[in-house]
Amino acid sequence: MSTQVTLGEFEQLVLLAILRLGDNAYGVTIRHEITKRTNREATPGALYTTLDRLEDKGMLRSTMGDPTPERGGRAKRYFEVTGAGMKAITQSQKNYQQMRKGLRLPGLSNA
Amino acid sequence: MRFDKLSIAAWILSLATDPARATTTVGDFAEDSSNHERTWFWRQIAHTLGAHILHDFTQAPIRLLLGATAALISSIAAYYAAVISYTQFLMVYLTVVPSTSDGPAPGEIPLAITYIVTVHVAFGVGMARLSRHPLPLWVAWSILCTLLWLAYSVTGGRLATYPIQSSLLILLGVVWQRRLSLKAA
Repeated sequence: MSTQVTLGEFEQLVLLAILRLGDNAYGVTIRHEITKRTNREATPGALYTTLDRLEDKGMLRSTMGDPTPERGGRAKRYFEVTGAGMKAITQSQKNYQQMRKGLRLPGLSNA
Repeated sequence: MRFDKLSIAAWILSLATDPARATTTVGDFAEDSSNHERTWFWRQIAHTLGAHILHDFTQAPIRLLLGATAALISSIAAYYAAVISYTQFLMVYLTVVPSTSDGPAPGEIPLAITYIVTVHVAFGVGMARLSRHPLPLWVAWSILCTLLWLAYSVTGGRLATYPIQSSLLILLGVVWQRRLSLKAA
């Protein structure tokens, strides 16, 4: 069996949200994207520790934007998924698909 | 550095995460706070601070324990270095008359307290400079001190009571160092 980087459920949600948001992925938009799509409130504490952890693992890269007045002159920290992050999320999603194959779950199409 | 709400919040968060990350996180909360009630901002700061401390405890417990042990040993060494340097050199240099059986000489206690407080604050500054996230380290160190104190309280060991007394002074040094590093960021 090959060694795989495993991702938790919330880590996957964060990576997918960043991929969806493209160039506009920073703390506020990531949190709103997760809440909007999953109908689940992403607590900031969990979100920021997850972002830090994924960046420390090399799955995310962050860059600083320009400071804006509505943020009290604080810069935005924009995130993008790295090659390692893309590989990990792809593998995790493949694993889910493999596990789902042939199962009939209520409210889900049998993809 | 202005002491407005955002600067204080960034300062608090920078005790448990990198200063640059702390300032951007506070910026996110400031941007989002207009959609929430008044206490929301500070609740998020408290929650995020707690999450960062817990994160360090769960992600690298051995590293944190080793760091706390090293800090504990160093703090005891700093205490004795302070006492020895005070009694052997500083008292002689300032010609302070040592205490007698009648009680301490005038001026001796304030001078000794000032000197030892300075050493501890300086130790806290050093601890914060060496550690990326000083608050989780300080929490681990305080837990270790408490356990040591509980273990030694029956015998009344001086070694165990000392670190507990000095932990707040060291925290003061940690907080001060982070204020300076945030100012530089």
